[in-house]
Amino acid sequence: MINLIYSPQWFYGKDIFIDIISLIVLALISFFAFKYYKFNKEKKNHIYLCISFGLISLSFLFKIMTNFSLYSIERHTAIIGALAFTYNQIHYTNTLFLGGTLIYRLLTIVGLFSLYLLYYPKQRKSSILLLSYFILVTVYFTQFAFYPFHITAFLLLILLAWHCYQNYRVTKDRPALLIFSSFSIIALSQILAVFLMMTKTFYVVSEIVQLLGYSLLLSAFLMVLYYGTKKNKN
Amino acid sequence: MEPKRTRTDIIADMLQAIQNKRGNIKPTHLMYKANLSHAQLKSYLEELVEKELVEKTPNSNNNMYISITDKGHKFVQKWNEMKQFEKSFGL
Repeated sequence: MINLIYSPQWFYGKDIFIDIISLIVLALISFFAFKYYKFNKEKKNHIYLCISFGLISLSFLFKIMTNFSLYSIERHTAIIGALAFTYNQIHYTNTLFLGGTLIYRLLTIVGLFSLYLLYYPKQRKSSILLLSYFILVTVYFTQFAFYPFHITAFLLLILLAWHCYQNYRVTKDRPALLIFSSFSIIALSQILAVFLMMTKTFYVVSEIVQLLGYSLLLSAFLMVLYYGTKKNKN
Repeated sequence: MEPKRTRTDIIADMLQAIQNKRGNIKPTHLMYKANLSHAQLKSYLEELVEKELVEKTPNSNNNMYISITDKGHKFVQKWNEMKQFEKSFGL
């Protein structure tokens, strides 16, 4: 049977809290990108950014719902006793885990991939098709092992971080530096999650690093808003 | 090479040029500041007046001036915010 819960018991709920913060940060950026798209519809980049961040944000919603349900079931089972854990419950939990986790992983990878296409637009159609195929294969295999997902997410995030670094080198913009740092830290959280097979402590470390990454992304975003407003006052 | 300016880019350039001249500018100055031809200026000005982003006002010497409205100021504010967003996110 596959391992359904990655978190140690004492960390239940705390990881959900971290994911809620990540979801809010991503949804906020997605919302503002949409607002700017509505303001200037001639530039499609805003809507692509909105969709990419929106997809990753939505993926967190599935992760939160899945984990919340799994933790509730486990707590409930612990209260009424192990004997009450019937075949039906095992079947239901497995289906919930596979369904929820698969959607979470699919949306995350698709979101990151669309962000990659936005940042690296000069791609041949054949390359995009081939990459899409590999993405789907990766997501399919994450049903059986979790690490292909984390490795793929890590690689995509590293490429995104690299683009952000190049952008920072050109613009020397402080929020751009923070965005680069946050993408790098989020990438680190993905590679840390791979070591989860050794001990569940890596899940905790990975989630804390993820919190750090998204907090940094939030501060970068707030700085973007502040700098934008400051420009008006000058 | 700089990418071609979109319609919204041109409108923002015009409004910023007016703002930089303390909210009032002569049409000929605006034409130079925003890098427009005479025909373009005429067409864009019509649009800006229609959208209430600017208004045409005569001064004491009966020369025509173009003034930015509150709506125009808000447009520039939003534009600057959007530009900062694009710059920071590398769009």
